[in-house]
Amino acid sequence: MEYIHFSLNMYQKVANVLIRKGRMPVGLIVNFTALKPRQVRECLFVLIQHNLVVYAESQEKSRIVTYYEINRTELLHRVLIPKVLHSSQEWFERDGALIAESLLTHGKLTITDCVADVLTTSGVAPGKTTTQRTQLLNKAFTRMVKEKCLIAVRPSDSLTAADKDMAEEKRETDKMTLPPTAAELASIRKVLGAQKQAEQNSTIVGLKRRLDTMDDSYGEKRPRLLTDGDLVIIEEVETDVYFKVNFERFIIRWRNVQIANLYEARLNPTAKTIMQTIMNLAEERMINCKEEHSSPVSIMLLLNSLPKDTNLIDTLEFDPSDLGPNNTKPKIHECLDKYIQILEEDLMKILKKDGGRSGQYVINLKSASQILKKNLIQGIVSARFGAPYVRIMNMLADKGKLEEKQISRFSMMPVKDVREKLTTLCTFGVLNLQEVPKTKERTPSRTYYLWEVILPRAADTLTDRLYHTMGNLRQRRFVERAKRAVLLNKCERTDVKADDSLLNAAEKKELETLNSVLEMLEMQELRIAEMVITLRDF
Amino acid sequence: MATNLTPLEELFYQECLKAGNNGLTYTDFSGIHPDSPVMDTAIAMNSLLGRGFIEVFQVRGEQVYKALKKEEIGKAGALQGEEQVVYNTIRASGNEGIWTKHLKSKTNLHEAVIKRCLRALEQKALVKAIKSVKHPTRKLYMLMELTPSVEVTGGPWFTDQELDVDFVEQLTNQCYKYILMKSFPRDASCIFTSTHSAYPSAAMVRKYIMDKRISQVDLSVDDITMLLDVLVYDGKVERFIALVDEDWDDEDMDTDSDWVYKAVRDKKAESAWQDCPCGVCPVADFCTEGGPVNPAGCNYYNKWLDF
Repeated sequence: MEYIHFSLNMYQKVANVLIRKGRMPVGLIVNFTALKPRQVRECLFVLIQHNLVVYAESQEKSRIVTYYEINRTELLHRVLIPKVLHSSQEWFERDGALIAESLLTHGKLTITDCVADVLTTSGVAPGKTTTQRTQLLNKAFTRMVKEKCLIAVRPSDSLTAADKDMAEEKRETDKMTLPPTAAELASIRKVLGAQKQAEQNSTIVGLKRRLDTMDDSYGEKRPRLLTDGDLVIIEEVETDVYFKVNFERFIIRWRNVQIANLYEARLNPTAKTIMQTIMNLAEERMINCKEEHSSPVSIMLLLNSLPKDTNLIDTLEFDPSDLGPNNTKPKIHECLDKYIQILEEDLMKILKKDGGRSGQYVINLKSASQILKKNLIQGIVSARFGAPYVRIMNMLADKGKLEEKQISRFSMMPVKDVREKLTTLCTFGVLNLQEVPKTKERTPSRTYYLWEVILPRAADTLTDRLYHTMGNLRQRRFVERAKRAVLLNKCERTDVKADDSLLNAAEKKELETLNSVLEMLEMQELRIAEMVITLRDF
Repeated sequence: MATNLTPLEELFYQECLKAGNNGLTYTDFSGIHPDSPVMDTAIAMNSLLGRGFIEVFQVRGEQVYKALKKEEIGKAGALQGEEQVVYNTIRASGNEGIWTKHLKSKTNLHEAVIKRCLRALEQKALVKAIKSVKHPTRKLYMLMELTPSVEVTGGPWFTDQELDVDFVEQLTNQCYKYILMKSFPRDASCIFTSTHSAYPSAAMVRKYIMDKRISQVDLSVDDITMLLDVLVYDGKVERFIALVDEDWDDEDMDTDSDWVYKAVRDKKAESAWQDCPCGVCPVADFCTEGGPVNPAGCNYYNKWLDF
């Protein structure tokens, strides 16, 4: 990974040691990498800047030792960079993509640095002054922060999360006179966890509010977007806070889009639009992908937030009895009610009424993710083996543990076919076999052999296989480049860069092939990475 | 009835007939007719047994006698000794049939004897050999005039003791088409409101299949339900309990189940993984960097990247 993104062997060595051997102080890294201590320190510095390395300080006798560790989640998220850029372009237009690109190349930046960087790399668009451009970029940056696609980085974020938790726990336990009991420890952890959650849930770090008047008085904490006559509170990004791209938020959004897409195939595009709008409304309060429910969304709000071109009325087919004698179609809000009812009664059971309050709906995110995962696994099984295999899988997922003969009966397939399919699926990692001996001596002839699908386990095995494929694609990419190293070196020459007529026809053709091959490999890797996030992060 | 019975024989036979399926013990008989002499009754019983009018069972250490129906008497009566025993055992198995091994253990006869008897019985067209779906290797015997039970034949889905995969496939496709037609309005971008109640039940699907004469075989609602279950597992239809609607009162349909079916639009089976060779690679498990199978020199990759 580092090899591509940082192109220097040094970084690769350092990161490799940290990934393979776990956390260690600088001295050990120097030992393992055979680099100079200064080089190692530089590497670590850069990697910390890119949020890839975190550290922890610990008191050992009289001195403080600093341990360095790889931030695995951040590292694994880097495969998604192309998709992040694409989505930024989609959601925040070109400026958003430029900002994201600049942040990703520099790891973390303040708003001023970032805007300046974008201005130098992209230049000013014709017909616009630099100040106008800066304003636009500032605006885009603020919007991305508000929508949590960018997140503030504090110095403490470079500390390892586990160590931070341990330190906080220690602070709590130190207050006690006796060593804590297991129950006390659990309750401390719970409280700390809740605190952390509340912290994440509260206001966005790095945003300050300001009254939009001439004098630059800093507003204290006030409700957001409070309008009072001409006084408008606007939010702006603090200039001394560093920001980075928040991969989690992108993943949440991608998941939401996927959930909404489920409804397009099942129902119709209008249903998808409605679901997407609900998701957008609930998104602000989502913190990570592991939550069970979204926050409630009211119908009135939904009605006002739907895109203007949503066709609610003509896409419903009414029973003649519903329409009444005049055959008039109902009003928009009645149609929306009908749609909500359809969505609520849909067998996926993702949208449901918020208990107690009327007109409020929540989305069952957990079951939605389960469905997404299941669909993905089904897609893999069906594309690789065929529909009958999916039938067996679904049946087992539905009925639990079954014997070969029962499977054959319910699936209406001959036993010998079923046996073969079960073994194939089992080696593939989707099915599990459970033996239940009838007697103590466990003879095979007196044993039940029960098959079952354990979804999380299946997802894990498939993720493993997908990682393997990603690794293969990447290795192949190196190989393809290495094969044409001479040509690539030539292309890097300044005179060739300036004048491409220095390349002959054969070389140009070769370069073209290389580019298309690399494009294919990279594209495929990204698609696999998308599947991995569905299985791992959703 | 048979004219050549002695009065006592006739009497005993009639009593057995009256006792029906439960049978008659000698104590029962002597209770009803205390005046008939023991010796004579024994002789009469032996003669009846010998000519195949009654048969004898052992129930809780007691001999129980059962009368045979008139039309059966002739056949068994014409048989001799072992053949008769074999015939009776086969007859007792009804339309389930009986396996030769079980026949042997029940009659306590030698295998060679049983074989000989069976051959003789088959020649006389009294019994027939059939095969069971459950145990395809076993040879079952049952009376000539009986039709094998569903247990043995496996129901309409089996032809020649084997699951007729093509037939099942065709029928499921038809069912899916019908349900799909009923699940969405004609205008493809529209959907029904949630009060829509015309989603088909298994009975309606059956009616469609029978009306269109898609199947030559008569299918029951249970058979259709099996097909629909398969569709559910295929992810092509969904099953749910219908809305309770007062108008829903069709007499010509047996609506004992409230399950109705709704189709899911066909999705294409596609997965990004299978677009590259690794997703379908048969040797992916051995594939390692620097191993005999490796991504650098992979032939599948060469082919794939060479468009």
